[in-house]
Amino acid sequence: MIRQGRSHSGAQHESAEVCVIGSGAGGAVVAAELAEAGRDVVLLEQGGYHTREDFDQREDHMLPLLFEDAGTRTTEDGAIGILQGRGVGGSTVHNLCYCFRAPDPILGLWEDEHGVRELTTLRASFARVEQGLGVQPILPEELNPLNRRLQRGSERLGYRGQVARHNRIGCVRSGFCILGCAYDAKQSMLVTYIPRAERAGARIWSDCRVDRIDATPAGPYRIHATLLDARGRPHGAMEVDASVVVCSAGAIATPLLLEASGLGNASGERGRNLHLHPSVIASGIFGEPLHAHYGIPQSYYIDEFIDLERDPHAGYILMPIAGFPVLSATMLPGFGRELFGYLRDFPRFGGLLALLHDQSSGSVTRGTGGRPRIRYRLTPKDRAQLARGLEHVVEVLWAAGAERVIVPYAQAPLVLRPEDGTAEITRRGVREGVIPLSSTHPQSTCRMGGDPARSVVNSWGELHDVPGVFVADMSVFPTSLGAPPQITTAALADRTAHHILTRWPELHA
Amino acid sequence: MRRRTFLKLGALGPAMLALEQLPARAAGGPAASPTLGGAPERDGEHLLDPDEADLLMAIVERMVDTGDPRAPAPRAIGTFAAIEATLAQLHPSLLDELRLALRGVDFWPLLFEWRFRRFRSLSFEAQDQSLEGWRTSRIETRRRVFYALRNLALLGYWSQDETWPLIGYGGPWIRRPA
Repeated sequence: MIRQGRSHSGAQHESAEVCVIGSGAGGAVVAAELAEAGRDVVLLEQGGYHTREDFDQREDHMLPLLFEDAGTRTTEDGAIGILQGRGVGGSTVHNLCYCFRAPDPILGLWEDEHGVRELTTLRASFARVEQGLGVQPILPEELNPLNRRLQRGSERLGYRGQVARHNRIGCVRSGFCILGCAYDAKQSMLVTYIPRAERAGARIWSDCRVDRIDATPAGPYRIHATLLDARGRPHGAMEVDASVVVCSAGAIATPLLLEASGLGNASGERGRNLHLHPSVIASGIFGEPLHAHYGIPQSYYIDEFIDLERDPHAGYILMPIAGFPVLSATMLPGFGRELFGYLRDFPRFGGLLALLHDQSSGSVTRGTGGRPRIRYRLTPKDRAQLARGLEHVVEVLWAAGAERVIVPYAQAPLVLRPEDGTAEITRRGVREGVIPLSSTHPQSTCRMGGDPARSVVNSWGELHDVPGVFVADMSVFPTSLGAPPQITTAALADRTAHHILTRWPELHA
Repeated sequence: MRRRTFLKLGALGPAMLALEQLPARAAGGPAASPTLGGAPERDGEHLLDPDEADLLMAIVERMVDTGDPRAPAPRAIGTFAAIEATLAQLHPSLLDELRLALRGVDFWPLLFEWRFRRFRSLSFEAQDQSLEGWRTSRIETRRRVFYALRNLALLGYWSQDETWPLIGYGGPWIRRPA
């Protein structure tokens, strides 16, 4: 049974061999693998514990429930919205189930330029997590009308695209994946690794915010946490003593926790090298209703514009996007009657985004009241790539049958018809503040590497400067991944867990 | 919006605090409904005081104005309750910044637009012009305030069942298993 912090107050204390902090794609895997191997595990999760019974497919209920800052988190300059999950299962509860392995050229880059060793062991981890998450190909007949049209459009233009793999079993194609799966068809951590960890004896606490890790040379480590009520207000305290600590709170919260604990910054790289996979979105309006928000939201993607064999430092992927009324409205420009003029065509909407394999970088530090201060600046090269990506987005939407495409420039939106061409996008370009950008993949803030002077953790996720403290989440990616990260995050966490088991006698001593 | 950045708007804070005593409806602007769309009182407390809530809803009304007579009034449905449920999940310092932002929108026409009235005392047309000024401002912070308030309004209004027929959204279409 998951212990909910909101139901406990006062002072709580746990002793364990391993304390895992965070229950998303990294932490859940580590907790399950270690618990199943017989280790005594405590897992602490800041967010709440919500199940299919809570997922009522309403945006007003689910956005505050499932997302950090109710979905309002942004970079410090407000230019890039950052959607991150919160709660048991983390972002795997709301993600759209794309399943990509880390591309080989990226793994090569991690070995050659960052000195990460023995990445060949990742193959076994990929196989394990794909089995654990029920990864399988999406069948062509499962594409919803938007994805099918985009497939035809990209084929018409001669662009390379693929039907994706996903981690759904028994999907009813409701389309509400981003608001949590009410059918438990999505094989998120909530219904896979978390129950496995629990069955193997892991004690899982939700509503438990970790504030600090006290690391003493003699060990064990003491983890100081706060129990939160249903509204996130402190109402109790928790301490955990453990020989090994695994931080899996995500690329925003993990470096902040290490900063608060005074750990992991011997290189000065903690919280730096933030990559976001920034995306730019345009909305097509088709001739007839698509109801693109129903069915599998993302089943096809266009990878014509990323060739990592040729250049592992550049490129972008085009991915379909559709939303419910609120999410759709926030993607549109203007307000009042102008915005309603667009929104009244809601059933005919179909969106496409360009997701950038970014070389731009930023940082995460503690800001006002402990809130994350997220700084990020696009390089001129990445701005140019996003502008080209936006042009291709518009071009593909037209080829897919869109009569008009709304490009949501903040000051003066564009509504483009095929005869207009994309010259105006070329002229205006893409940069922060000019057009809304979004991110769902913050990464690389505690990067992995062989050189302690240039990285935060070693090849297995252990802090260079603090033995026994590991990081297992997207923070450890040495560079932008250039692909949706769920499977790679889980596989690296699996690899870290098996490394901990191999070294257990030494670590536990 | 960062508090520090907001305050850089021109030391508005003290001026706004002083001017807050002015009657908001001195010149007979659009009247606000006394209700807030059924906002429940959770745990015996509201996150915004009644005046802040009224101001927020005045802004919401312009942000989601459709011009369609079938459209329900934001105050007549659960708009405010949905917004407050979202605010409840935010860091307390973000709430402080929201309060400052609301005050900024309220006093901007009086201080910087030569209208000599606060936001709620303006006609709907003038309110829209004032908000458009925030949207297209060259000051980044003002644009950020606009989008923060706009997105709260969109969440509060378009998440309500009563608005969905206006845009042809049928709501959850597959009934959950029993």
